[in-house]
Amino acid sequence: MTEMTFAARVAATGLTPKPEDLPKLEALVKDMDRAAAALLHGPRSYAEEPMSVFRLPTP
Amino acid sequence: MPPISETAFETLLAQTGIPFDAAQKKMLHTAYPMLAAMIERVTAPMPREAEPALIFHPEIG
Amino acid sequence: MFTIAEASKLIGDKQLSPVELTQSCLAQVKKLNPTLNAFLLVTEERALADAKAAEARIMAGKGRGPLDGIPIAHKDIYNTAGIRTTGHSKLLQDNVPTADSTVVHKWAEAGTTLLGKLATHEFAMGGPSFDLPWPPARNPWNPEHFTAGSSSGTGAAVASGMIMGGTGSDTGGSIRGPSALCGIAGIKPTYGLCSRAGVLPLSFTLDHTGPMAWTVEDCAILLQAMAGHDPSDPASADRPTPDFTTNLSNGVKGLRIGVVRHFFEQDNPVSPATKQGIDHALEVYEHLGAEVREVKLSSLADYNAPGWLILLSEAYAVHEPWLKTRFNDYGELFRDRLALGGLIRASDYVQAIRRRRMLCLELKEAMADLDILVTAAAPGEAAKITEVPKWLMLEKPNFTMPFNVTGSPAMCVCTGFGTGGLPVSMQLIGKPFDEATLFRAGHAYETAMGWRKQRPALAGA
Repeated sequence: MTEMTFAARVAATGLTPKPEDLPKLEALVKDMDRAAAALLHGPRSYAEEPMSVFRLPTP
Repeated sequence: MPPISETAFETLLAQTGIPFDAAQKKMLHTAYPMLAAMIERVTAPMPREAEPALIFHPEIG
Repeated sequence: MFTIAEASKLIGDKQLSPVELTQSCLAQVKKLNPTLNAFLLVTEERALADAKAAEARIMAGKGRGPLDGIPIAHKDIYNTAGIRTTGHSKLLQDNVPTADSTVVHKWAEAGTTLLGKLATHEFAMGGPSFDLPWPPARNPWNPEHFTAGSSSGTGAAVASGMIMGGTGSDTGGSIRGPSALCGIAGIKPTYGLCSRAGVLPLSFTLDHTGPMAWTVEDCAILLQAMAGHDPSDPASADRPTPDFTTNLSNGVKGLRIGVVRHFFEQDNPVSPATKQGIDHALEVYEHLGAEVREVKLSSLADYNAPGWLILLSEAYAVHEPWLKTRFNDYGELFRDRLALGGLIRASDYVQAIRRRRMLCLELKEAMADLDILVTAAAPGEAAKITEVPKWLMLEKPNFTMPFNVTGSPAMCVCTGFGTGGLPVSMQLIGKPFDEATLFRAGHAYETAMGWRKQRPALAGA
């Protein structure tokens, strides 16, 4: 991922956490980023379907 | 919805991890307000209990 | 040129040879494909082998039904075993699948002869593009003009008589758009009716497979051989396939038709010829005994917003690994349109799928005492192929996306020609899994009018 400040990422969400909470939040988000990267890692078939499917309201 | 700031848009682009060049960034910035208008339309208030159209469907076998 | 229904009867009566029919279609491909670019790959040997096998079956009294010996082709996002399947993209230009998609298999089992693979917008969204390994398909009514997409090759090949029917796929209008602008019939069936297994995905929850042909009747014949439960598609509906052809000629007497007029008069005003075509079709329906009244839904933009946000988010997820590593191997239109999908937040996607359900419920309620809806299919005649805006889908809400959002069956029927000599069309929408009523209504209109007698001049009918 391209370098960007954590403060800029938070600002882009529109959320306004207390400045003193930012370091802890940043650590948590880094863990989540690592988890997301692990999910995306490795070859994956483009045909792999999601587990949620669209269901029409029954007639 | 107010126009997105350059910094916020740069952040959105950076989060994709795609190596956009300057011209591509500019072009996407031009199109983004149309996407933002769609986002505004779907995020307008709706009942809290409104369920999504997708249903988790555990497959068997 | 024959329709599938006509050819099928002649073949069954041993008055038309499947081999000669296939040869005449192949001759049409040789003559017109250099202008129309409808085919990415012509499988001549396979077509002739299929046709000879069909002929042998029919001569032996072992015909497989109405599609035996009928020349078809597949949009190049349908996997075909041993035959290149590219998505019209550099990224898959050497991709040779080892198995047929379910629909390809079903049509082969029905006895069709496979003429080849058809042009598409790149991965069913990026077009018309001039920076891909193959050129974009062109409109047979005027090759300077756009076919619409993404099933662009199917629209051009059917209208020009290169094939009698073909597959399309429809995520936001990709069957109905080219059907409308090429002046043919095309149906996006109910979500779940036809298998998507083995078809390159664009957006899992909006993708539909479906047939395109010269007439509504031919679409009904093709859909009959295409529909049915497929356990390998998690969205496939486990229910019996209805009979689409038996009641085709029962007319529209007593049918209750709702007109979604605000879609094409206020939300995205259409050309005078398009409006005139729809108004005249409604008069025809009333004359034939149908009851017509106006119906109001949320705006076209309200339906398009969740549709495009879901489509772009899901398509981005499918392509994300390649976008990060091979961004510039995609054509400009596909990669730039898709890049927007990376800018949509997860919570916005969730709001879009919540909004989608509300719209599904709205449509269900609006149709409670109606059998079908009628509205526009496209704003007017096809634009010039060099004048299609990159952000067309964001600039104006289209008429087809609402019924991808709701999963309803929706079909395009030609209603004549505009001032530029290119076709105009209307869209008929049915209740879930009630394709039979749509076919009945479309067939009644086509039979009452004479539009099916007129082919593009270059097709040399």
